[in-house]
Amino acid sequence: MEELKDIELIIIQSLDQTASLADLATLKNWMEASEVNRQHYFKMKDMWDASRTYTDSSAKQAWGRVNNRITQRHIPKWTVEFLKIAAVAIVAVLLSYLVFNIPTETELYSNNTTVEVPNGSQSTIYLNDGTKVKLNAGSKLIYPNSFNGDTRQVQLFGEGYFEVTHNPEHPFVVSAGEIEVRVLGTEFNVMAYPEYNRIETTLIDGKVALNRIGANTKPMVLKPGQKATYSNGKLSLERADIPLETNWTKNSFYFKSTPFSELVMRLERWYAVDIEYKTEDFKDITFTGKFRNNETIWQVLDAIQITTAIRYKSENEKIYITLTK
Amino acid sequence: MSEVQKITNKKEFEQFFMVHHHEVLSYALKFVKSKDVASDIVQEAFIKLWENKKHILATVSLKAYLFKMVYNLSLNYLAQLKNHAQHHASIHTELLEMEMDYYKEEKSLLQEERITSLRKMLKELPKGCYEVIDLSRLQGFKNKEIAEKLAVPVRTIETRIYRCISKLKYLFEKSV
Repeated sequence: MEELKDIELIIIQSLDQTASLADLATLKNWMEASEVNRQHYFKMKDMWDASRTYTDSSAKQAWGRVNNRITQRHIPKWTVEFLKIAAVAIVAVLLSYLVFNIPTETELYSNNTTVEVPNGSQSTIYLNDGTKVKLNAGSKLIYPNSFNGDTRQVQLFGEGYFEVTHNPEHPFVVSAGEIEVRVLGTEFNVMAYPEYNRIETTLIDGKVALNRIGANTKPMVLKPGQKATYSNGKLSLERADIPLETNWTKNSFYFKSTPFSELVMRLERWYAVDIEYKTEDFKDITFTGKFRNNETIWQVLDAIQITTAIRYKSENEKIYITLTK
Repeated sequence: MSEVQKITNKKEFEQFFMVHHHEVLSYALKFVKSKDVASDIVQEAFIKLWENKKHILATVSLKAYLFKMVYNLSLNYLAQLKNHAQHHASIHTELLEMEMDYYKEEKSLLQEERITSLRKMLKELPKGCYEVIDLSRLQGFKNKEIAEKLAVPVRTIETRIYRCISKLKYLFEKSV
């Protein structure tokens, strides 16, 4: 089958609700460009919407609910109150039966929300259990619209700072790459940008357990102030430098013997810029330093110049960094 | 289909409900992406219609009234969402606003009869098409999940669904 044009791909992803923000912006511009484009999109959307079907029973059930509501007013008030409580109890029992006995994959994943944070920005998300997640630039979080399973399961790509609402009966589980972090109400940071080839989990407060996804081995339990690093299939434990790991949540950078390549990746994400440099020249160079928020990329580069022998220039919307001999 | 002009008793209301429920739910789902929320909005609209049945002008079609109600309730819900979710990216809202604007005019709406004929056309699609449309639109799987199920790249599924929806659009336009 021949390949789709870019815009066609975006249309189908937008209907499937899996398009990225950048793609949605492209779609919007394309739609605004001409009436023909707009018509095309809406006709495709009509076909997409109309090809979904509902069973007859859904209309009957819906009628049942409406019929109840329009009939209720004739019943004495206390009876209604009583019926409401009874109904809630029954529904709760039914739901817990469904959730605890047959949580199939579709039930758990069919109603997910994906939040993608583009480079150059950050975002705070409140999940419906009260958990707060701060997402760093270039990160993505997938979470269910409501937590129904026996665990509260979310998926992280990139970096996030979690303040999890305490609920030991429904542990909060973050999966990131090959790692799963299990929580019982706590504050911690997970760094899992795919380019770094490692996943770091830093615990600020509370208690978390880490394991490889699907592993039968005993999980590694973290204490506050500790950091677990997963790399090349191995988990290791060390003391964490909390400000270093979490300063990004306060809009500042803190680097300590950070490899140059990682510094560049951070800057690219933070400022949404493209930086070019010769990898082999910078192989052994590390950087230590601290930047506050609202400094421009140029101020940051100037600051790096003070301690590291580099020169930079900007050309064709790219920044080129070279080592001064 | 005869257009009901006045609802006087519950039996008439039930009939009206059964005829229009699917159509109006489809309409709500154009704006509100969660089926639960859309069902609530539709329920609210029908109840409002019932409560106001005496006050609705005879010149206004009940169906138009119902759609207008669903439209306004969806608009309210989306405005609320915009206020609540700090993370809600503005591009989503902007696209939604374009959609809300487009579907405001009833002419763009697929009528119930036409939806029924379109569903018949689904079954006439080639087998490969019906398979993915069935998984995506009838069973509600995401493209990525379908790709995993059929063990092919997600791009392949996206291409196939796009082609099938296009084909459906072609068949549909030819039939009108």
